[in-house]
Amino acid sequence: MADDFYGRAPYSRSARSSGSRSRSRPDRYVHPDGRTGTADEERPDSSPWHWLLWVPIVIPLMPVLYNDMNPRFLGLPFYYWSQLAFAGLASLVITVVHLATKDR
Amino acid sequence: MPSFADNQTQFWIFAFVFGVVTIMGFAAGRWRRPASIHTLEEWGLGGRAFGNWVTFFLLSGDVYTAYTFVAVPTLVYGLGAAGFFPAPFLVIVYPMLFVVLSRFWSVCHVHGFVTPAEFVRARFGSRGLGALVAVLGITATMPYIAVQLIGIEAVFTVMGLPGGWPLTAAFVVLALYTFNSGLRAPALISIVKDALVVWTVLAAFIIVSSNANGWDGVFRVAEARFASTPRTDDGLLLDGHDQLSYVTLALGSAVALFLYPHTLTGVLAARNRGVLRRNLAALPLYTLTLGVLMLLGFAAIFSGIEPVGGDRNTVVPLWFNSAFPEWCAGLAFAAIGVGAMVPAAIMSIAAANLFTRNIYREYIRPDASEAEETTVSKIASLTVKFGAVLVILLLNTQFAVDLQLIGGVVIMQTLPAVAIGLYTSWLHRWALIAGIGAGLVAGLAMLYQIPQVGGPDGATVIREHFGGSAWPLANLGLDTESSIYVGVVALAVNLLVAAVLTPVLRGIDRNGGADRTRPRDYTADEGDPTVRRMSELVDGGTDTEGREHPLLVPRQTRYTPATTYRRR
Repeated sequence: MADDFYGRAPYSRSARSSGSRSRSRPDRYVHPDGRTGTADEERPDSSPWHWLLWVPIVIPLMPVLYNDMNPRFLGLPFYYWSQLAFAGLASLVITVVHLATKDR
Repeated sequence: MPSFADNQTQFWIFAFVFGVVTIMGFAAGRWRRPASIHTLEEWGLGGRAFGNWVTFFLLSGDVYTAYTFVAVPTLVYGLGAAGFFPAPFLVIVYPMLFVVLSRFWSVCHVHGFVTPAEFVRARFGSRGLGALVAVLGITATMPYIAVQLIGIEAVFTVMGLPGGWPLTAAFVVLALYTFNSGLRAPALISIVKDALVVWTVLAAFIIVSSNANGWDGVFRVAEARFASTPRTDDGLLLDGHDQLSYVTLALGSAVALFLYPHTLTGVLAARNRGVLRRNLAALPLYTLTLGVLMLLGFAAIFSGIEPVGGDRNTVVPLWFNSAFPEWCAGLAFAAIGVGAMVPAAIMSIAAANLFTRNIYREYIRPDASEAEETTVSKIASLTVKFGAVLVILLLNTQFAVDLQLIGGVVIMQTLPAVAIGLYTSWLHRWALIAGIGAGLVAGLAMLYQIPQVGGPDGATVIREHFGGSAWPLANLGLDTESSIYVGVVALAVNLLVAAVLTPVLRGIDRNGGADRTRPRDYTADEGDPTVRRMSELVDGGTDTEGREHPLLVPRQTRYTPATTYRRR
């Protein structure tokens, strides 16, 4: 059935090479419902921490905030150095969110 | 015109680096060599086993291309603030990707997908939609490869070489080692590329900072230059009505970057979700190197650089040649040259995989073996690269730039199927196809209406159609000078059509397509029994020390989707 759907299912390779016998061989990962899979069924990948990611998305999209010559830094107008600084901001926020959500 | 005789040191440095890279490209085929490289996952995804560092180099090599290094500072040179949009674009893209890409990685690893179109095919149960996404991907990628050649061409022009045969020779070499080594070649070479780029950027930053007035003087001269031009759209800051196009261009470019098949190829080669997420945290910092290169547009104004023969892409290489010692300029040229090789290789591999998996195996040879798939992909990647060379040599470079402009709008239309599809399969397959059609028609119609303006006052019409991507809102009858990025409007049309048609089609066609993915496929990680691992394919279910890995499923019991989830 799966093979009908894919034309040739990407995972049917080993089944073909090792014969169909092996396919029906029971294995220790079979679930009661007949599917193979992990013990913890669905790990949610949403987290309140993800809201923090909006900060480095929204701020760079608001030129009114940084469309200014001053203050300068190393001789660079604010418009230029602030947009480069946003890269550091994004890096920081993503790192924080990654560490906070890593263990799920 | 620059003459070759004056630039011999630069040329030999360039040629030396090129030779080293070529040797590495061929040697890459032996790097962590599996039992057989004749599978598409080995050739086209490097065995899906790249760790933190290699993934970083691969993705940075992919995103920050030679064309970016040459064309973006040129924009800043000509326009000032409005040309700086890649900075916000390459900041906002990473937080966006952080959430989305992990899901994409997981579902592709569970099912063994090599391309985004294969995911769409399984998610919406429509091979037509999958093929459409594949065709759009190939269409958008080919001109992107061609514009990489423009980066090398600019360097050759500045070194006083002719455009034809050196360009062809460079690409023949590239084509051969990609053919031989697959994704391993650009992955290994991108380490050299990044070293050269960082060296060049640091040198440039120090040189400009240490002139008499530092960056302050540079900006003063640039401000005076922009004030002296009759153009109104240039300057060190954005005009009020430039802001909309600035923001939409940044947003649209970010969306497009995620959807380009070559970005996703780099992503799929990562070993696990953690590698991916750590890289997305680190990659924004690479935007700093691009930022410094963009600022060189101002440095070029300061140094009074005039482009060779009116070709503005030569501005940055010319500045390197004037500001750096000869050997250092040679290294900078090599950075651009290698910077074209890496993404061109990844792009051609991505396009070739799309062709093989979604067109060849789907419609031409459903029974193709692993080895046959790999051969087809190799040949397709050669074809794509030579197509790009022919476009540049026989047609003209402007044509490639136009196509790339259209390509960005085209690839954005796959967002509802690929990105939204990662979260929901609610959208109906035919509504998605109709949405893509409507978005493409709207996008092309708008691009057709945009003339290219230029000349000293920035208002003379040079060409009437396909001259840019900023569509004036005045076309809608609004009384404003603001313009908006075409891709964003076309995408809105696409989403609207898809959302409106979905409930209608659900009423008619209750079954829709069968969704072959399951919710937990989107959160699977390395080590989960459902995730296909290369060690499993290579070592037959044992870990590196030969023990049977407790978490690895024997090959034959690998997850096969037995249950079909019907949508609602």
